[in-house]
Amino acid sequence: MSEAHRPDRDERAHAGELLAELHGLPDDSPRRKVLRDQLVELHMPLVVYLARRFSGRNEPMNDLVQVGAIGLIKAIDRFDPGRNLEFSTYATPTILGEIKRHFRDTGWLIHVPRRAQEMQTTLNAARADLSQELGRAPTVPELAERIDVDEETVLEALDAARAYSGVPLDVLAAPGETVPEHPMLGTVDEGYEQVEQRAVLREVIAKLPEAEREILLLRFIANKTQTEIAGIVGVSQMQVSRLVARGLKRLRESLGAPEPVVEQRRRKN
Amino acid sequence: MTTPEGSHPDGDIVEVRIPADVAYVSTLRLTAASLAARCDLTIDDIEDLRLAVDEACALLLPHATADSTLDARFELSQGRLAVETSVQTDEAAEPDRTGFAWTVLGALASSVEVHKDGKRLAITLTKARQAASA
Repeated sequence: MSEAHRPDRDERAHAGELLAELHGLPDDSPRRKVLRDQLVELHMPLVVYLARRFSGRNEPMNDLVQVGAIGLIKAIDRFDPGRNLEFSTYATPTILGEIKRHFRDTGWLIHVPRRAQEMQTTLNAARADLSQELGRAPTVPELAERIDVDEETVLEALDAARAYSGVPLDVLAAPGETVPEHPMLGTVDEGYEQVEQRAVLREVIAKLPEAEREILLLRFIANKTQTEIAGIVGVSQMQVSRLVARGLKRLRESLGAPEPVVEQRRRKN
Repeated sequence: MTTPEGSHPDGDIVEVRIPADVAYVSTLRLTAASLAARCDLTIDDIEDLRLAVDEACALLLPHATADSTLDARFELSQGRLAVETSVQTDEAAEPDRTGFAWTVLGALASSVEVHKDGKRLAITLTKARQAASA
């Protein structure tokens, strides 16, 4: 068994303690917010990891991370510590659910051929209708029959909609490579103006000093270890650790601050 | 709803062999999605399956030897698809069970098993069709 790159075991135990305490508190306890913020911070790397699975090259990664974070918050609030289940296992489908819904609601964010785009509209309507009728998601043959096309066409349209390019892991910068030239890492900088929706994290990420931002991207988007990042950037691992902690602190503050978008969404739950 | 040719996929086996290179993983994803459609999995199941196949490959590829292939064996049945992915390894390879890939795989697949057979490391995942929700 290879050793962990990150202290996951400790983090999981820590998360378990936080969740147990959170769910034992009365609804109006001010401590809830503190705990929830800590849990969000602890699990943001999971959100980023999952969001990355859906990011095409021109995809505004921050949007995906933002909707994923909403899923994370829902999972934190709904988790039942009494059940013998790892929180990250519980949270993964919830986070993915939010990301998938985001794609369904805003399919136009992805550049797909026009034919597939039109098919998408038809497909989405059929999908919604059939889900309602069947009480579950439809199968590919069911969808094909409903909109009167063959199954390949349905699969193709589903592909186009998801833009599942699956991030090519090998281009995520070997140590020493010029990381900022990577197209995926570039999207964070270029995506700002394209996004209509107000992103919670976008502002904070944009405001981060360049060194912090780069290191956070390497840590959570490229999923590098602190030691690897130290090698790439050419600073000590301690320096990396400090910059990651400082960057995360800012992100946490932004999520915890009375930011209108987040607060509105939270209240619904 | 019947399958198009009225045929049942029960027991059918499909095998795909690709270079142990991340560039080919998309081929496995597509194959998995296509076969899952034949098994009458729902489109939500298929989305989960594609991600799960991705994660299984991500867990295996770091252990593949330079000349290894990535072999996938799909076993089809009505409402269920099993996917065995494997690579050639050096001694004592184990998938990393501490990272996100393992967590996500476990959360998305209906079951996950790891097998070691000599210098071959295999991850078998299954996806069964979701039940209708209330």
